[in-house]
Amino acid sequence: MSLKRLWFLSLCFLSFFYLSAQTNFVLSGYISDAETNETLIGVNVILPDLKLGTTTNEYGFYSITIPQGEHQLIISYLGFGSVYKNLNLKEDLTENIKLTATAEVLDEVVVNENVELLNLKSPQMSVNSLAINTIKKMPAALGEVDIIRSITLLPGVTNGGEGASGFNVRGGAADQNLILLDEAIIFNSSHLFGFFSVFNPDAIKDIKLYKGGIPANYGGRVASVLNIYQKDGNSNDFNAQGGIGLISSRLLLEGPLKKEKGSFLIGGRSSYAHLFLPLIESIGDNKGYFYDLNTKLSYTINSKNNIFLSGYFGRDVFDIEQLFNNAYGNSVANFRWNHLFSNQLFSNLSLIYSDYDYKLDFSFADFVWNSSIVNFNLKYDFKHYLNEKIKLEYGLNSIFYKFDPGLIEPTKEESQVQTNKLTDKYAVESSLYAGINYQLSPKTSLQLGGRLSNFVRRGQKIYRYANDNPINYNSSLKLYQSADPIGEDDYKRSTILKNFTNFEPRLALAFQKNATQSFKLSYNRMVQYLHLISNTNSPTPIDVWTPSGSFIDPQILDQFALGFFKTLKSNRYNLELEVFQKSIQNRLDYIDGAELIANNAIEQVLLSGEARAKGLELLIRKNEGKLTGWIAYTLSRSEQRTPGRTVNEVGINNGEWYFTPYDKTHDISLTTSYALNKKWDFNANFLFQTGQPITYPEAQYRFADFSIPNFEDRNSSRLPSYHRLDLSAIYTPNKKNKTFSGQWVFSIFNLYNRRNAASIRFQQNTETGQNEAIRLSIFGIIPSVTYNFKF
Amino acid sequence: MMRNTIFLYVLFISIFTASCEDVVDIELNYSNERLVIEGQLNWIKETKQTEQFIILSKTTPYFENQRIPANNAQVEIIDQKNNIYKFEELNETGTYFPLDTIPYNLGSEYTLQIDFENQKYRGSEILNRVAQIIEIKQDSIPLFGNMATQLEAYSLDPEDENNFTYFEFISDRLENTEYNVYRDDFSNGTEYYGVLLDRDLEKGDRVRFRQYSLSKTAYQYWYLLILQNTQQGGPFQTNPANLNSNMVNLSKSENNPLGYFRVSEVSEVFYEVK
Repeated sequence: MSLKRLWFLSLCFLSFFYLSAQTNFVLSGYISDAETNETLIGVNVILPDLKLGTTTNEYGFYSITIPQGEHQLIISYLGFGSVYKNLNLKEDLTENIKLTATAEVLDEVVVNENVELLNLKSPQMSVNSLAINTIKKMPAALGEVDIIRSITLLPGVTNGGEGASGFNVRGGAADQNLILLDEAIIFNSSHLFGFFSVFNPDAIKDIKLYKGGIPANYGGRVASVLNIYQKDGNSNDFNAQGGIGLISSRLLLEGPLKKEKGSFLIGGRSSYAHLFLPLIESIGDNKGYFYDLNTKLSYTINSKNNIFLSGYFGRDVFDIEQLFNNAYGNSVANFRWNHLFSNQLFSNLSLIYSDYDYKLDFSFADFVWNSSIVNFNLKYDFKHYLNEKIKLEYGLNSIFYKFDPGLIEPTKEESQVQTNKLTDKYAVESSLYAGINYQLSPKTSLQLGGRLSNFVRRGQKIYRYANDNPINYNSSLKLYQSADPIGEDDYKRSTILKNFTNFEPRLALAFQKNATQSFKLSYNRMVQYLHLISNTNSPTPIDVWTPSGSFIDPQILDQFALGFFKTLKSNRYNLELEVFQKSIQNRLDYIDGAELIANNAIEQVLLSGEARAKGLELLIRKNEGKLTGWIAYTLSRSEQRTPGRTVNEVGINNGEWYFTPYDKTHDISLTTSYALNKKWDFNANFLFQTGQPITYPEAQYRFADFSIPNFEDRNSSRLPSYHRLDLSAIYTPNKKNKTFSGQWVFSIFNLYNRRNAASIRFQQNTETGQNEAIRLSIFGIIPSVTYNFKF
Repeated sequence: MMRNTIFLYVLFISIFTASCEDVVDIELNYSNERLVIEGQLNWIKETKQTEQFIILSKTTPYFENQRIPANNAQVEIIDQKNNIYKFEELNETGTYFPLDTIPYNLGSEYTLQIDFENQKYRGSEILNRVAQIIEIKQDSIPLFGNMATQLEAYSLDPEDENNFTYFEFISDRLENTEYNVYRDDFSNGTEYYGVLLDRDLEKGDRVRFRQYSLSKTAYQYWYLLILQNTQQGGPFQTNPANLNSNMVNLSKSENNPLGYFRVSEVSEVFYEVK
């Protein structure tokens, strides 16, 4: 295999450079915001006379090897004033640099917002970063700044419509996104069943979304990696910020534990109680609310060691009088230790605990259902800045999972429900990875990596089936039916029920044609061992994650992407054009009428199929001037199929390809921001998306006094197109005093009140007896006001 | 504080006005016309009475709600001993009744055979036992601010077998017949119940409770039938699936019929609301 050979070649290069890099010195350090000491991610560190440069990593660290002598050093980061320094390098040098935000230094309007500049040189493609300031400016539904909704404005990213949870990347399902909050895996990204995302914008520093060309240090999901970095906290001064909005109020406090050494951050957000309850036409003693809490402690032990302790706790609660009480959320605790083994070898050790749990208490039926997914994650990552041409990244990762699909317990003695424990599942996912970033020539650079992943299902009680087949096919009725187990085996936890090992090669190549143009190419294979069991159009909080095992194989993705990148008018504009093609093996599908809730033998309703997607993405960005923003266009197609397991079986949808629920042929989004003066800032978003696929009835018949629809082939029709325009105006009055500053955000969501269909269902009108099509549209025109403050 | 209240008020107004459902016009395709079979052989445990009929109709475009009877079909049922029971259509209603009552034989197979417009249809079901409804419990519980009457029909699940049933509740007071499907995963060998919850029921109302035994295939059919006809939509709607008939077209397999041929033992109890 050619990839293996490439891998071998790169190892040879590596040893060669070890020998030749002798007369150089290492320049390294951390770059942070002068005001808060918050480290900055992705800052450009440039040595123009050497035509060399690098960027800071996710902890604000950089390291570069350069020849001895006098050099000019430029540190530049959008939204901050550049720093110029002359160095005379005679030995290894540590330069910790503080940048000052431009808004503070310039009198005129800030011309360049925190839009990530295009990196033509780096082989990394299919990646989008959004600074939290950009996200905060976007007009938001009900004034609630939403990280997940804002990334749907990027090319290749959509969601299942309003009120749908999660997001879809390049035609992938919502469960195929790896969502990391300070390196911890988040299993459910939404509040209120999908109306809002779980991330408090005040506590977030930066987000980065990888859609393709995913480097070897990430794995475990096949569609994307959304990396969300929490702020470390201000280690200079105490400050507070917050906001009052229609949905929730926020307050975040941060300050030094020890000046310039340590900091704390604690941020809370809570919605108002009784939210949304009119929706369910109820009165009385009902509650529905969410809250979340972000905390972080950062401490610099010495120049070589930093530690971070961070936590997240979020919860949604619904209490519907006498019927049910429902609470769910994520909890994350995370300890990290940054250690510099040398000025060229950066390491981060993470110990992470994360869990998602769900509780549903049916008071009317006297039982409670608890389920959870708990994981412990150990990660050790190294970034090795070998020399000016080679950067290595390697590490290991091991995650222990416990899946508790549910304990059903009676809450009263007279309850008719017996205590029922759905079988817990245990698994360990481990991986080893290594990647090299290598500057092959001044014009070409290569990123080559590999990840060896292993997944072990531990012993538990499992059903035995005749011929190991949990699903029978009834050929005369062309019907899949659950098989009855012929026995049950109880394995000890130490037993290995199933063991999967996969090699996941990653490759990216950049060819910079000239100072303004480059071409990039990438291939990545990724393996996903966890599956979200859901047959609704968008995930719900009660959907259960299930690990691969004896009856379920891991999903395996192969993705190719090709891109053309260009900067115009010295970076005032940039253009990104990418095409991608991907295929996924072992995508699960469900037999008709599958009961997924509290199903202890989920293998009886699952069939394995495949998925594929292809598309073209265009992004044009304007980075400077009073008017900034971007336009994104995506043309794509996403399909899946589940053929019969043998030639005699029909499979699902007759084994034909059908559109996935997240297939959107055209997706256009326009995001603009206009800075009128120091006080007023105007923003507009426009979105247009092809309606999502839906299955319409093609006939009706009467049966048992019902009018029964008979449906056409799966997903062969479309909802009406989705489009809307949102506006916002941000007013920042002159500071009354030095410490306090306030800001008003006025916004109008869905300005022309388009009734976008979130779904269309068909029913028989109970009064007229006539069949009718009912459209659900969630957000019409919504004006809102939010007040934000900082002191 | 006042601002919060105003904000909340604005929020509620906007949600109310902006986020509701409405009826829309959608153009739908119409597929080929297909035969619809609603076959029932019921033997009622308590009264020893039978209900035996086959209703044949045709599909229509989705928005044309009607039952178009399928007339002049030849309908017969064959039992496990190869006895043939011929059916006759009542006028031109599309409803067919047997000339002789089909005898009751637990555990045996009944085959329905239909000849309609030169196509032959066939399907079989096995008659399963049903557990008797042993008790009705009445309770009053609050539901969205009002009190609702809760009626529970109890049975005892036989431990040694997999049981599938559905409950049916009929009363003049109820707008529609109510159904509950049941499988014994969580209560094998114990008491279980079907539940009716209604705000309109009043003292003195008469309710007919029935429990029908189902085969596994029939359970799959009734589960989906009731799920899809009581689901309220929303973003978490499950992907719609067609109900799979147990009848097949022997002449033209791509034109399989719809509907179901069910044989059930039935437990029936009448109850007067207190």
